[in-house]
Amino acid sequence: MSGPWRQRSSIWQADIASILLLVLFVLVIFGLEAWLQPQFTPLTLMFTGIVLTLIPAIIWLAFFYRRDRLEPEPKLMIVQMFILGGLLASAVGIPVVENLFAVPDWLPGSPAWAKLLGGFLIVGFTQEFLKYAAVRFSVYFSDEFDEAIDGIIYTTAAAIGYATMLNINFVVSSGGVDLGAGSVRIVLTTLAHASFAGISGYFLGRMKFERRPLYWMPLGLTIAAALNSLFTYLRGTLSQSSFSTANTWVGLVLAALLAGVVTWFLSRSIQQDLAAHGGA
Amino acid sequence: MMTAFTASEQHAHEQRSAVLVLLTTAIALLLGWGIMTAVTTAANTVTRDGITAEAPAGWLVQDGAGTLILVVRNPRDLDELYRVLHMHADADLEAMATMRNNNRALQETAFHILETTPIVFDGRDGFKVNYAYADTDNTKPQIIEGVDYYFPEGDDVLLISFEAESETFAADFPRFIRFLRSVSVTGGS
Repeated sequence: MSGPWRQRSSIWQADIASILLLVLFVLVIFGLEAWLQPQFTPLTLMFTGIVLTLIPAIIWLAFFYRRDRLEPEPKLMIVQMFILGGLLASAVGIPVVENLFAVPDWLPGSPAWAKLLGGFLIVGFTQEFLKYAAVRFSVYFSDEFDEAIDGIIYTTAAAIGYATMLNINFVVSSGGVDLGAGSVRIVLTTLAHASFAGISGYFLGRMKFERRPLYWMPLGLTIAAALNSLFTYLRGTLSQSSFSTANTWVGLVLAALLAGVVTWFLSRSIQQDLAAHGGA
Repeated sequence: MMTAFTASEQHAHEQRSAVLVLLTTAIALLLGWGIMTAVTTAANTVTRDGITAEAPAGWLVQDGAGTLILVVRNPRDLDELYRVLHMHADADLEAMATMRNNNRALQETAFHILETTPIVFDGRDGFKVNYAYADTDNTKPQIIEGVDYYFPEGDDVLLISFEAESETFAADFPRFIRFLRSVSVTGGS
């Protein structure tokens, strides 16, 4: 067995282990909820929210970090991006979406066109811009940002931080109700945010190391915002307008498929980049 | 696609790109604001017993009985509702308001009058009552705030009410004012 082949095989094994861990995480939460039927105080709810959201965040962070095996980025910078993403979500993203635009008050009950378009223009652009900005105005200038794929690695880290804050907000605002189904949502939301931000990270990395037209980066951000909106629509609308629990799962499965396809595209592009640089 | 550029040219190009991203995001948010305005001000015309009103699009409209003409309710927050009543004027507006408040004080838990005042709304004389009470029907008791607007309509009185959870009352109030402006007596009773 050649070195690169063995390396790729071990990454596959690690990826499968990550997915299994996430499935186990969801099953454990379902089991614990059914067994303990917990009642929360504000403090225990906050603690539960942090634990529930950090576990999938760490697993997804490791999942995307492993892609960059040619010249792995410093772990400290990945953690910094994760924290910066979370801070931007908390200080800017959530207040803009929930307070300035009051999205929860009108978007869920809107017609489909408004859900998609409002989700795209307000939620999608706000979230994807902040994840992009976390990288573009910090680590982008660093010497560590020395490959095109670093754009993907750093934006996914910022996005996982962003998603973690959204998930904590979700657990706390739901009052800890239905944590089992909530854990599925947490796992999916984290993957979706990471993969969509990975798209703008892909465009950002190419922009830095290749001569690209001026519309290149806005195009990347627009695609990420559109996918963000489509994911939220599939996950939320199909669940809310359903008349049976089967439809709830159809929405979740479609949303998961979308996030999965985007993740596969990102992994493939990283693979090609590594191959071009003799890393695979 | 790739051509040779100096570092400063590349830097300037990246700067312009970042500015363009900012502009794109700003334009997207402005368009989003337009969509939000379009959705939140969208309304359906409702006509019941000679009363016409513009109910927020997507809200539940329930027919009333007796003097209660209709109830319009937010489907995402059932505590947020508008009521339209058409009553015979048995007394002046203030006396009618006092009677109604006394009745409600007997029906609602901790019913409290916050303010009563004669008003001129859109050039129409009227009377306004702000009140609050505790809603204990739910598993978690909550404070409901409300406001009644009384307007004379010939020998009758038009009463238009708004109620919402105390926490969201102020934020929801401008939407009610749009509804209030839209209510008109178009004929019959």
